[in-house]
Amino acid sequence: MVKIDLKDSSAVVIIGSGAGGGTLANELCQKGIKVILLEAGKHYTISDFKNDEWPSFSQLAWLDKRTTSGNWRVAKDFPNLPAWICKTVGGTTTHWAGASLRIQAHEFKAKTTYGDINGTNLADWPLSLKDLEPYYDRAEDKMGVTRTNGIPGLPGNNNFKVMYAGAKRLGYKEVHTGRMAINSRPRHGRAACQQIGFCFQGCKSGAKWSTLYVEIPAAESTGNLDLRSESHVLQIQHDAKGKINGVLYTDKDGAQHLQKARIVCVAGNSIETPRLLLNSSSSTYPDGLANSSGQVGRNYMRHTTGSVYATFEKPVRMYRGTTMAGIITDENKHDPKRGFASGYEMETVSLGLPFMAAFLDPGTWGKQFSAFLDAYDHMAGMWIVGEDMPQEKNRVTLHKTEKDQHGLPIPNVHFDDHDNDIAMRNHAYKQGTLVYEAAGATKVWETPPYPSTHNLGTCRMSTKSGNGVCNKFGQSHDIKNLFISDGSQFTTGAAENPTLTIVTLAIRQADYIAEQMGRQNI
Amino acid sequence: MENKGLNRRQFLYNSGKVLATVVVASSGAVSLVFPGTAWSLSVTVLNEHESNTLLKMTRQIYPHDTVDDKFYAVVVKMFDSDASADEKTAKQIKDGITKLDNLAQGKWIALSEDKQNTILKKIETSAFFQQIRSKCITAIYDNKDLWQQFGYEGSSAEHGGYINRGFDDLDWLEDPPETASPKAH
Repeated sequence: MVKIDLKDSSAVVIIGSGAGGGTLANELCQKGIKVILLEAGKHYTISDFKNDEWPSFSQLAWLDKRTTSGNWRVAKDFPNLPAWICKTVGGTTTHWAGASLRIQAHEFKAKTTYGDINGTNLADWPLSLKDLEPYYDRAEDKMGVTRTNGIPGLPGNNNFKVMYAGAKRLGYKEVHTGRMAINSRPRHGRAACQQIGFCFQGCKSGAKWSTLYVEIPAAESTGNLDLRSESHVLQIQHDAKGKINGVLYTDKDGAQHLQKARIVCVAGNSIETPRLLLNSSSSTYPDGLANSSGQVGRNYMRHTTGSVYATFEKPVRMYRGTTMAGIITDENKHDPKRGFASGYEMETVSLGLPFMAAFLDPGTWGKQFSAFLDAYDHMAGMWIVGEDMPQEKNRVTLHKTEKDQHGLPIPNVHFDDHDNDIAMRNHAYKQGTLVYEAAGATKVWETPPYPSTHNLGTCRMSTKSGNGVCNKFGQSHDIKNLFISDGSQFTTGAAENPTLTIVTLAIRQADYIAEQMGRQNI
Repeated sequence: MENKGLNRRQFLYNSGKVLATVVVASSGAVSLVFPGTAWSLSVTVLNEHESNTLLKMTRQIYPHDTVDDKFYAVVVKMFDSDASADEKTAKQIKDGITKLDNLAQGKWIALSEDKQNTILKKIETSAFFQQIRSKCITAIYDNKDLWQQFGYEGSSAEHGGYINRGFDDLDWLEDPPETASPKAH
C-alpha cells in the first residue's frame, strides 16, 4: 500500500470507508488518482466477525455517545443510540442486509409527485432516474445484485416461505426473494451465500458485498490507496480564500496529524458528516462548512420503519438463512387513497433471541411479552421500509455542553414523526398483520422502529444553492473542492434501502471528480 | 393467553414454598439454599428477604415456566455485586424493595401473582425497576445455556450455515414457485 506524505497536497482525502467512501476510493484509484482513505474505526477481517449479536454489536457499531430529542420512539427507548451504524473499515456495509433496490422515477420528483404537504421541506432531486440508470447498471454489476445481470435470485428461507404464502393469499402480486447484493452463486471471486443467518453481524462467507473486502482491496491493488484506520477526523481546514486544503485527524494513539489535500470528500454517514462540517466552523465559515443555506444537518430522514413479528402453530426458525431475502413490493407506489403520500416495502427480517428480547418492544415486560418469546422458533418477521417526509426541524446539531473523547461537541439527533410517516406506518402494520394472519398466525406483534440504519438527507443535493448543501454531483455549493459522498446527499428518502443508490452516486461522483481534476477546475 | 390450570411451578410459587432458607457462612456471606435444588445463591449485601424479593421480581418481569430459578438468580447476584461495590446502588435496591412492601402494605412477595403484578406496574418507570428489567434482558435472553430451550441455535458459520441444514425446511405451507424463490446453487 502506498504511503502518502502528510504535506503532499495532491491527493483526494475521503473521510469514511463505507458504501459511499469505500466505493468512491476504489473508483478514483482505478482512474489513477491518489486517495487517502481515513476511517475512524478498526480494520477487521471476515474471520474476526462473530455470529453472536451483542459481542458483534460491541465490535462493529458506532458507540460514541450521541443524544436524541423529538417525539420519535427511539428517543425514549434508546436515548443515546439514535442509529445502529458502524465504526469500522467497511463502515455499515459490514452490517447492512444487502437489499439493493433502485429509487423509482416518481420518487426523484418527490415535490412534484406528492405536492405541498404541510410541515415538509420536500424538493425534487436535481437529477432523474434516467440520469442515474447507467450508474445503477454499474453499481449492480459491481455489487452482484441478484435478479440483475443474469444473476439468479437467492433461494427463499423459512421466513420467506411464510411471507410468500401470506402475501399471495392476501392478493399481493410482487413477492420474491429480492434484489440482493449477496451472491446466489460464486461470482467475481466471492463465494455463494451459505444461508448462515447472521447478515447483520458481518458476512462470514463474504457472499454479501461490502467495501471491506471488495472495493478497498481492489483500490489497494492499484497502488493508489493509502488507507488509515483508527483515524478520526476532527476538522476540515481551508486556506485564506476559503478553499479546502487539508484535514486534522487523530490516530489510535491520540496523536494529531494535519493531512494536506487537493479535494476532501465526506462520507461519515448522515450524523457524522454534518457534525464534522459544523465542527469545522471558522471565521470565514462561522456556521460551519458548506452551510450558507443553513441546511447542513437539516432534513434528517431515517425511513418510516417498524416490524411485524407473528407466531404460528408450527415451527418457522426464521433466523436460519439470509436475513432479508424476501420482499413484497406492491405497496411501494404513490397512492394517496391509502391516506398518505408515497409508499413502503415489506422485507423479511429476523433477530436472534438476544436482540429479539431487546428490540421486540423495548421496555415492555410481563406474561404476554414472555409468552411471545417462548414461541421464538415459531416466529416469522418482516421489516417495513417506507419513505418519510423531510422536515427542516428534524436535524443533527452540535450538543451545547457534552463533548466526545476528542473534546468535540457530540451530535444531537432530533426527529419528530410527520403525520404522513405515522399514517404510513399504521397502514404497513395493518397490512403486515393481514399477511401473517393469512398464513395462519396465532399472535402478531407490532414492533416499533429500531435505532436508525438508514440515515439520510442531512447535506442534501439541490438545484439551487439556497435550498440545499450540494449539487447533483455531491459537490458542495459553497466550496468547489468539498464533496458529500454518502446518504447525506439524498434530497428525499424514497422507499428503497439506500445503499445501492449511495454506491451509484459514488460511481458517478468519481467520474465527475476525475473530469473536473483533468480540467484543473478543482 | 391465561393459563387456567396451575402448573407445578406456579403452585409452588403461590404457596411460597420456593422461598430460600438461609445459611450464614463464617465469612459473613449469606447462602440462600432453595429446597429441592442443587444450587444456592451467595449474597453479601442483600439479606434473605431482599434476595427472595428480587428473585421473584425477575421472574414476574419475564416469566418463563421452563426457565429454572438459577438463571433468574444471576440477576440477583449481579445486583448484590453492584451493591457491595457501590453504596448508592445498595440504597437504591433496599429503598426499592421497601417501597414495594409499602405499596403491598406488608410483604410484596406474600401477595398473589396478580396483586404483585399490579404493584410492579405502579413502579415500572422507576430507575429501580428499569435496572432490574434491563439486566434481565441480557442475563436471560443472552444466556447461551438457555438458547436451546427457546429454540434458538446461535452461531452457525462454523457448521457451514444452514445451506444444508434446513434453512428452507418449513413444510406446512405451499412452497413458493421458482420464479419467486429459485433453487439453491
